[in-house]
This record gives sequence, structure tokens and C-alpha cells, in this order.
Amino acid sequence: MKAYRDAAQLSPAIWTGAVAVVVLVIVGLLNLSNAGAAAVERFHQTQVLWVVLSLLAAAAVAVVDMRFFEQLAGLFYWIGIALLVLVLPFGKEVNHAHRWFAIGDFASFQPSEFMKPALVLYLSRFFHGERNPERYTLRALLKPLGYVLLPVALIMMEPDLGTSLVVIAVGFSVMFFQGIRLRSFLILLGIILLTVPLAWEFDVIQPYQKQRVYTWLHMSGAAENVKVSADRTMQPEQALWAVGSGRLLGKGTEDAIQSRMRRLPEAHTDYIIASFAEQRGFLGCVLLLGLYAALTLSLLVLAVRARERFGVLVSVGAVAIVFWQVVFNIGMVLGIFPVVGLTLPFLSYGGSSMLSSMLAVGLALNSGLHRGQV
Amino acid sequence: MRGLHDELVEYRTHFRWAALCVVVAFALLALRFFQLQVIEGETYEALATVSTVVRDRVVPARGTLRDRGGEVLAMDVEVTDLMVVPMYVKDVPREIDRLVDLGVFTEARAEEIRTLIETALGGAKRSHRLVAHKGLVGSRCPADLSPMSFDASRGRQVCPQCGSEHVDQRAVVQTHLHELPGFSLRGRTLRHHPAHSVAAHVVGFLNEASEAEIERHRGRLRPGDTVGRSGMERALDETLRGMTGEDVWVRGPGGRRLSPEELPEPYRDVRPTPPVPGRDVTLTLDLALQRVAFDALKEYPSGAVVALEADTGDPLVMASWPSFDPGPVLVPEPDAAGRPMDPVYAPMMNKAVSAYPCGSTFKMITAIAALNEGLIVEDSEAWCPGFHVFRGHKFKCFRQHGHGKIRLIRALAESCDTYFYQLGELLGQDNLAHYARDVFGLGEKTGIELAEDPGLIPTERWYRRHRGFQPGFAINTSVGQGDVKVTPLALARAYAALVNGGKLVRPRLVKAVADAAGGMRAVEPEVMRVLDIPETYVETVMAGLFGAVNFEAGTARSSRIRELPFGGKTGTAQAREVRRNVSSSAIASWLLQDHAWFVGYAPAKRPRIVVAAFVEHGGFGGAVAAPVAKKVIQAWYAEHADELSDLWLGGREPEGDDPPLEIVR
Repeated sequence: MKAYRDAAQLSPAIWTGAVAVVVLVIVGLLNLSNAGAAAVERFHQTQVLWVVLSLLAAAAVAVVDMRFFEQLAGLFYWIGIALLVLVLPFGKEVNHAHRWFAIGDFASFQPSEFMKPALVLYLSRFFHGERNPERYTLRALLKPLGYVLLPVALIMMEPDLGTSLVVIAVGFSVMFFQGIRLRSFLILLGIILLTVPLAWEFDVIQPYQKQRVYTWLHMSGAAENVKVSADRTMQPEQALWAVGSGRLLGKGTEDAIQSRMRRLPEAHTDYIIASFAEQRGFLGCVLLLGLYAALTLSLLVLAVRARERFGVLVSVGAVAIVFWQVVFNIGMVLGIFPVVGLTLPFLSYGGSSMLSSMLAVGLALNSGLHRGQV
Repeated sequence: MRGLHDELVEYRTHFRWAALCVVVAFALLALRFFQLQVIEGETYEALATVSTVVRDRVVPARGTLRDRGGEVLAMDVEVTDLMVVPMYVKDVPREIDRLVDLGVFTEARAEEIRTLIETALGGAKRSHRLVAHKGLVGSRCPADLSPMSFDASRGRQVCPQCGSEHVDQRAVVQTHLHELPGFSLRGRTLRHHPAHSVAAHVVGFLNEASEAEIERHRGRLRPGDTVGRSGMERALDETLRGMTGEDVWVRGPGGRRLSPEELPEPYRDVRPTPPVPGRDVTLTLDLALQRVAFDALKEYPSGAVVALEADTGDPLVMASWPSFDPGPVLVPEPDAAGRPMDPVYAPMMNKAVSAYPCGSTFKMITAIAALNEGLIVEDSEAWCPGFHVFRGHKFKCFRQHGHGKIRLIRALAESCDTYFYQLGELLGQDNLAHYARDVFGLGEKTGIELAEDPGLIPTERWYRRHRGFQPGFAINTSVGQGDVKVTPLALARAYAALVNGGKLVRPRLVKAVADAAGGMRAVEPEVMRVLDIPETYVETVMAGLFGAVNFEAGTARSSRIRELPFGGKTGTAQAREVRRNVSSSAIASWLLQDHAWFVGYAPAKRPRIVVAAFVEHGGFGGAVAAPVAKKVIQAWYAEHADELSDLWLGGREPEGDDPPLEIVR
């Protein structure tokens, strides 16, 4: 019952996080209803359903004893791996990728979304159980590296570059937070930098992914380039135009030409921020970034207050899931990164995305709520 | 060993770094938003009004082909299809009933469309644009695409050709389209050939471009485009096709086309490329004359007629039978009983430019060669016992009992083989070949725009290479037998060179091509070479050719037109063919017959037209081919009667062996 004595002390961070999530979800639903996607009505109803389910799931995750997750971390992880293996032959094909399991006609389930929290739990348990809390050497990190790279490889095979990047980033976030020696860090960095050109050369990176990189390299805000690249860069370019044309205050929902004309690729999923930016302008975008920042920072605050290594690392990993996805998604739409398929947490349409983001928040809140129970 | 406390302290340090990372990352994103929305926002706002740059291909109309009198041989005609997107049809039975009420369809046709729509609604094609009805009746008669005229009293259009009445379905549907959601109209171009099969081999037809052609004409052809596949459509493909253009425009909000003033900066210089229309071409053909020749050929299973303007060598007629209807849908012409023609008659082949043994029509060349080489004079006499013996081999004259004592003119008129056997023996193979090929241009391509068979004039060398030479071959060659093969066109050209003062022309079918300004630019006829043959020799030979038609014993006497004298030479070429897999005994015995030839010119004095008639396995030239040529000559006389009155013979009938040669001299 110690936890509830400390509750008053914790409440600002918890409340900040909870409110930020709720506001983000509301903004997301409002935005989705005028994102200009086809069959908006149906999308919207489905999304509301998912939001409710996800909130319930997050609440459940938040109140369950953290030791429950600690014990089941291995099971979750290996179930996740099994699902990733099974989705390759049995998943339904969408745009030449096998990322989803169809659940009836109504819903589909993306195992890679489930893998993110499962990996966080498993990594956290690994570090929690480690006897040697010294800064980790490369050799000591081989095992956790393997835990990260196994799902990454499977997700790459779907293929889903975006999610595998997020999984890598999340895994490394947890490792870094636990602490890595500078030398190990530099060696890892070197390996990654070597891997990229090799993957490029030996076609691990798909041609369409390469094309996106070229597109990104050729794309810029400068208008002179628009015509030259008109054919191939159309999608990302359109998104840039939509964002830019929002100006300071946004066009509002009525005049947002790009969104209304359904010119935006994946307007209701990966590119949702573009229609938001067009309608709400720079101020809206800054407010949105503020909400994400508030959520991330408050959850981080909660994380370090946990009195247990497992709780700290789970929270940090959970925050990392949300954080990296936000950064990669918005960065991609704004042309900072090449195009990778990623959803924007809480704003994009999609059940799996909503559920996994919510679960992450629930996990992060959990360690805050149960801080005294170690 | 660090304690848990130390570790948590270290976490605090890491937390600061992590928080810094988060803040920096979001700050960078905010900066980027600032750059895009505040600094460059204006530019993007302008760009965002642009939805797409649309590039519409504009295919120009293909040029029209006409005959020398301006009759259309091939032209593009727009037809309209009724299209339907099943998903967008609001009320299937009502809309179809409406179409029936409007008189567009019969009940039966409506039922078919209903089935089509309902089947599609249940499948993946419900959102596709389907052809509900191909070829709505527009302003042209559906039977042969000839233009119809509106009959106010009947309230309908009437076809002047077949007299049938038609509703203008296209106009009716167009005006009621608002009542027919889901239905739309689509224009389509067809190649219309008003003359159908009559000049089909010369005009040719279009066909979908092959992958190789699309590759070769990169950027100009696309899958589904048609190209000229045969005849002049092929020879003049590029001229007729023109250049595809591109309508480039910018689609703005709501799908609207942005005007040039509205275009944001980077699109200012978006300019359409106008198409270059295909050029109209006038051919040298005379469709009326062509039709006469074509109809004359129809009496026989297979044959060809070529008529050249004697002076210029322009083909007036180039008919080949059997034929095919080039379109809009390519169909080989059925026989008289309406059955499909046996492939042995090769309806797709242009026989006017295919080579066959030419028989005695070759004797004109043998005669000129012998005269020019000084072997004989006009009065040189020979004895024809009905055969000629050369090295123990007996070459028979076609007249079993012989012609007795005979001179050159009669030998030509009565086609005495013995006379020419002797000349062939004297001239030798290579000398004959020299006159046939190097002088009269046989055995080589004439250079006409169409694909043609060069034919064959064998030389000693050719024989040595192929089967070994024997001097007796020259005797066969002298009467156009053996391995001699010529096309009706090449033979007509050789005769034209004889009668027009020695001009061996390159026959050309293109008389004029439209220029960019809309006028017609004439194409000049081309003389390949001028033959150096003394006029007296030509006159002698022409006297013989005149006799062939007009003498009592002339081989083409039955085709004589008393008041319209013309000259010519018959030919009956042995051309027994034994083929396997013929479909009937009638065809097998047809293949054993001789080829019938006649090459004539008219008028007999100062000829203006040369006609070569060829009837494949037709039998005796004088009895079969000459009447065909006669019909063409008669028709030509009829066309030019007023210009020619002074050249007519005026009913003077030549008698007996007495040639009224003053007509030609």
C-alpha cells in the first residue's frame, strides 16, 4: 500500500501522460473524420471501437502486477516470434507484403505490432536478471542483440522496413538506457554503418525501397525540382505540398484541397499528419508535437522513478516505441527520412497501431503506478 | 559491484540524456514544420492547387486514300459505342426500358444488355467500363458505313445505298444521357473502305501493331494502335498516320483544367504538343476502271489485271481476284455461291505483282531482239511445219499442222511458235535475257510502292547454277516458257515502254500527297531508262500485235472491237501444277490448266493505255484473258470517247491476210 502513499507525489507525471494520451486520441478521431479518405464513415466507426478497446486494454495493462509481465515476458516474446514466422506463409497479401493475419472479414492483426512490447518485456527481463550490472561489453550484449535482430529479420522478410527500424531503435534505446560502454557503442555504430551499404548492394533492401531513397534524395522543398521529379516523387511531394500549404493557421477542414481531393497517398494511415498539418497549420502541428513531447517526457519521468530495474527498462522501452514511431513517421512525411511505411501513434487509422501504442502507454504507466511494490 | 542505488543514480543521468534526445527531436520536427509551413508555405499553397499534370495522347485522324478522280478508297470513320459501368447504374430495368422506348434497342437486344449488366454486378467487373453495345448507329449506314441522309417525312435517316431506314442512336442516347446514369458513349475510329474488295490489295489494311513495331517506333506507337499491314496502307504508313500529339494540362481543384494564368510557377511552361494530322494521298488508280476489271475477273477462279497509262506508266488498274474485304473487319471474299474461297486461290495475295510464266506474250521481246540484232527484217520468212527440231528434240508449235510460210507480222498475230523458236535458237539464252531484263525490265522489281515479286528471266549462268545449261533452253525462253516468270505489272510496263517511245517507267501509285498547307503536292512520274530501239522495229512489232487482235487469224480476234481498234498479244503458258492435299478434284484439274495472258494497248495508234490481263490456269489466252482486257479497254474508251474520236477506225473492217497497217503506221 506504499504506492498509494506516494500517489500524491507522482500524480503530476501520471496525469500529464494520461491527459496527453486522451487528447491525442480525441485529436486523432476528429482528424480522421475529415482526413479525406474514402468511406470515412466506416473508418471512423471502426476506429472509435478500437480506441475504446485499446483504452480498456491499456488500463488493464497498467493495473496488472508488473511481475506478471516479468514472468510471462519469455512466453510473449516467443509467441511473437512464432506469429512473425507464421505470417510469412499464412498472412494475407496487401501491396505485395505479408504483414497481417486476417481475422474474419472485419479485422486484421499485425504481429509485428505485438512484437514491439513483447521485445521490450523480454529485453528488460534479460537485463533485470543479469548479475553483472557493469557497463555492458559487446560480448555481453550479444544475446540481447540477438533478441532484437531475430524479430527484425523476420519483419524485414514481410517486408516491412518501417517497423523493423522501429524495433531496432526500441531495442537499442533499452540497451543504451541500461548502459553500454562507449567503445561497444562505437563498434555497434560501425557495424550498422557497414551493414547499410552491404544490404543495399546485396539486395536485402528491396528495389522499391531503394527507389524511395532515390526519391527522397531528389526531393526537396525547392519548387524548381518539382517538375523534374514529377512522376516518381509524386506521393511524398504531394504530402509536402499539403503540409506546406497549411501555413501558420491551417486551412480548416473545408478548404483543405489536398486532403479533400484524396490526392494524398495513404491519407488516413501513414500520411495522416499531412492532412492534419494542412488543416491545422503550423500552430496545430506545434501543439501536436507538444502533446507527444509531454506524453514522452512524462512517461520517462515515471520510468526512472520506478524502484526496480525491470520496471525502469519496460517503461523506457514502452516510451521508445511511441517516441520512435512518432519521429520516424513525421520525419518521413516531412521529407527528413526516406519513405518507410509507419503509422503515427494515436492519429493514424488502424486497430493494431492504436492497440500497440496504447499497450505501450499502459506498460509505461504501470511502473509508475506500482513503483512501491517491488 | 555497484549497488541498486548506484544504478538508479545512473538511470537518472541516462534519463537526462533521453529527455534531451526527445526535446531535440521534437524541436527539429517543429523547425521543419516551421520551414515548410511558415517560410515556404506560400509556394506550397500554390503547388497544392495542382493535382496532377495530365498527359492525354491525341491520335490524329489517319489520312484518306483516294483514287485519281477523288473517290475515297480508305478513310477514318468515327463510330460510337454505348458503354456502361454496372455499379453506377441506378435502376437497371428502368434505364434499359428507357433505351428501348427511345428506339435504340429491340427487346431482344435489351435483354442481352440486362444480362450483361446483372452478370457484371455480381462479379469483379462491376466497376469496369464495359461495352454495352458496340457500334451505335450514327450518321452512317451500319451496313457499309456510307453516309445516310435524313428523310423528314419518315423522321428517320435513309441509306442511299441500301435504302434501309435507321434511327440516329448516337444522337438519341446523347440527348438522354442524363436519364441513364452509368451509361456513357465512347468514340472509336474505324477504317472505312467504301470500295470494299475492289481495290483491297492495293489499298491494303490495318492491323494492331506488333511488339517489335512498337519497340521500333518508340514513343509513336502504343499497344492497341494500328499500323498499315499491307498495300499502300503499309507503304505510306508514316505519311498517312501523322504524328501523335500530347495534350498536357494541369488538373486543379475539383478536377478542373487550370487555365495558363492560374498555373503555379513550375508549371508555367506546360505546353501541349499538337498532333500532326496524317496526310491524304491520291493514288493513280481509276476506281471505275478498276471495278470493270475486277468484275471481269470474277468470272474466273483467279487472276489479275493491270492497266497502265502508256505514257507515264501510272497504274490505272491493279486488280487481283479473288479478293478480301479490308474492313472494318477483314474478311476474305466468298465465292459466287457464298462459300468461303479455297485457300488455293490465295485471296490475300496481290496477283498483279506476283510472277507467273508469261507464255507467248514474251514474243514481243524476242521479235524486238531479233530485229535489233539484225537477225531478221520485217519480211524475213520462215517455214512452220508445226514444229521446230533442235538437236534432235522436237519443239511443237501450238498449231499442230503448222503455219506454212510465215513472216514476222503474221507470226506475232497468229503466235507462230516455230518462227520464234528459230529466233530463240539464233539469239541464244543470254541475248534474250539481255533484252527481257536489261531492256524491257522483266525479271526485276519495277520499283512500285508495293511489295512485289521480281520474277525471273533465266540466264546461262542462272541455269548453270541451278540445273545445268542446255542450248535448247533458249528456245523455250523465246516463247516465254521454261523458267521465265513475270508479273502482270512488269509485263504491262514492258509493253508500255514499247508503245510510248521507249520510256521504261518506275510505276508509282502515289499521284499526289497533301502538304501541310492543305494543298495536294503532285508526285512526278519517274522514267528509269529510255530504250534505244529504232522506231521501224517498234512499228513492225506493233503491226504484228495489231494483227493479233484484228486479223482474221489473229489469236485475239474474238475480242476485236470493230470501231475501237487496239493491239495486243495473247499468251498461253503451260503451268501444270500437281499439288498434294488439294480439297477437290475440280481444283486438281484446275491446277493443270494453262495460264491465260493478254497484254494489249489502245488505241492501236498512239496508244494511251496498256492492259495486262492474267487468268491463273484460265486456259487459252485469246479466249479467256483477251476478253477481260477488252472490257477494260472498252470502259476506258467510254471514259475518254470525246478525246479520241479522231483515232477511231470508223468501222473499216480489215479482211483476210491483208493487214490494214496504215492504221498503225
